[in-house]
Amino acid sequence: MPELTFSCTIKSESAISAACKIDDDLIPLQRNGDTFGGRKKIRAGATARVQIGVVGLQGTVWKADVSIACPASSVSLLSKDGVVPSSGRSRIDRQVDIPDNPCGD
Amino acid sequence: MYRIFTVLIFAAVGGGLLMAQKSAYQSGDGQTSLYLDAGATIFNFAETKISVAYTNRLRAGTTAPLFYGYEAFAKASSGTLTLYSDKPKVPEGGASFIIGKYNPFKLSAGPLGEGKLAEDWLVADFGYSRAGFNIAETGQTTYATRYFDRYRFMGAYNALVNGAVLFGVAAGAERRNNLDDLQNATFQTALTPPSGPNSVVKTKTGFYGNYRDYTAAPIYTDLLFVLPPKVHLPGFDNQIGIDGFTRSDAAPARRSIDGGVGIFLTKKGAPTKVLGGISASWNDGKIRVAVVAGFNFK
Repeated sequence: MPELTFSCTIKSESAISAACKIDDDLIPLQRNGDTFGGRKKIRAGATARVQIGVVGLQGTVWKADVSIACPASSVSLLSKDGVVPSSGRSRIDRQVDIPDNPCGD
Repeated sequence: MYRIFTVLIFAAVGGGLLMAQKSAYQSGDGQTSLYLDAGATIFNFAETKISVAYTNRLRAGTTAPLFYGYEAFAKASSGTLTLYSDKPKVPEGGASFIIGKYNPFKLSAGPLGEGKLAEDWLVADFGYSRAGFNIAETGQTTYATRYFDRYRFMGAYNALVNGAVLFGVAAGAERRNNLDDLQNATFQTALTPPSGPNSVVKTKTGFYGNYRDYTAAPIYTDLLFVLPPKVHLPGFDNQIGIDGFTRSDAAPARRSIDGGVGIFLTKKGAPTKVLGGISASWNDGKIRVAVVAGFNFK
């Protein structure tokens, strides 16, 4: 299994906390203004499990993007937006396909 | 004459990492126990106070859920917008520092976990400021300039029970003075010897009475209800937040309990960003109404 650099970005003006996991591996997110973002090298097969969580007051709008970061570009794996419901928690749990040789090495 | 109306205008310039530490879900005196990110720069017209703050909720939702922040502020002396208050403005400058931790009692689910609460966090808030003012003690006809060093330590706990309910409690100790209880005074110093009915005098504003400082034990609570996005005022798409609060002092020297409720409008899709609202509070049978107006330049 090749080691790929996964990038996770969650944008929200009002989220209280957010998290992102690839194949149960937590990507450390740093907050910069309205953006929670981070990268991590993870060994991945033909598919990967993507988990995204956002906590906030209900009505909080958010947008998440997960991609594979390549030296020259990035390959998008998932792009999703949503609104935090009355539970205070929004979660995504998806299996995404990993392209063969995504960075064209 | 008591201060009945207070107008607070928050000009919040958000961006980058700069965010204030406390939410704008505040009572009329600018207090809150809710520590949420807000705009980086806040201008409070009622107290002619400007503050610049920074907070970084580092690695939010990950394995190192510590965060910290600091704030610096300056409060001008009388000069502008004094119509909102009958008390002379006291120039004051200071700073505060906070450090906090998510999920301190392992009660909250966080973004991807399981728990009884959606999220909770503890905050320790340290502050220092220095103020200067003119005062004549009872029986004296001359005034002196005094300085007051304010120290504050507050511990706060916030719990996001679910998406609709946020609870906050804060308690600690703060060195305060009794300037609010003293009489306003204008001090006159003759610059030239009186000549007939005319004279030239220099005037300064200040206070008259028995000054003292003391250690207060403030206890603040807030219970914020944020209504669903589909509930809004006709013609507006802003969300509505209702904050029931108490502001108490448990110190024997000046034991008191205030309470009130505020109704706030927030930015659509961002319920932590307050655009404006009205709060009413009571204290010893007196009601104070504060109009809160805010702007988020983002």
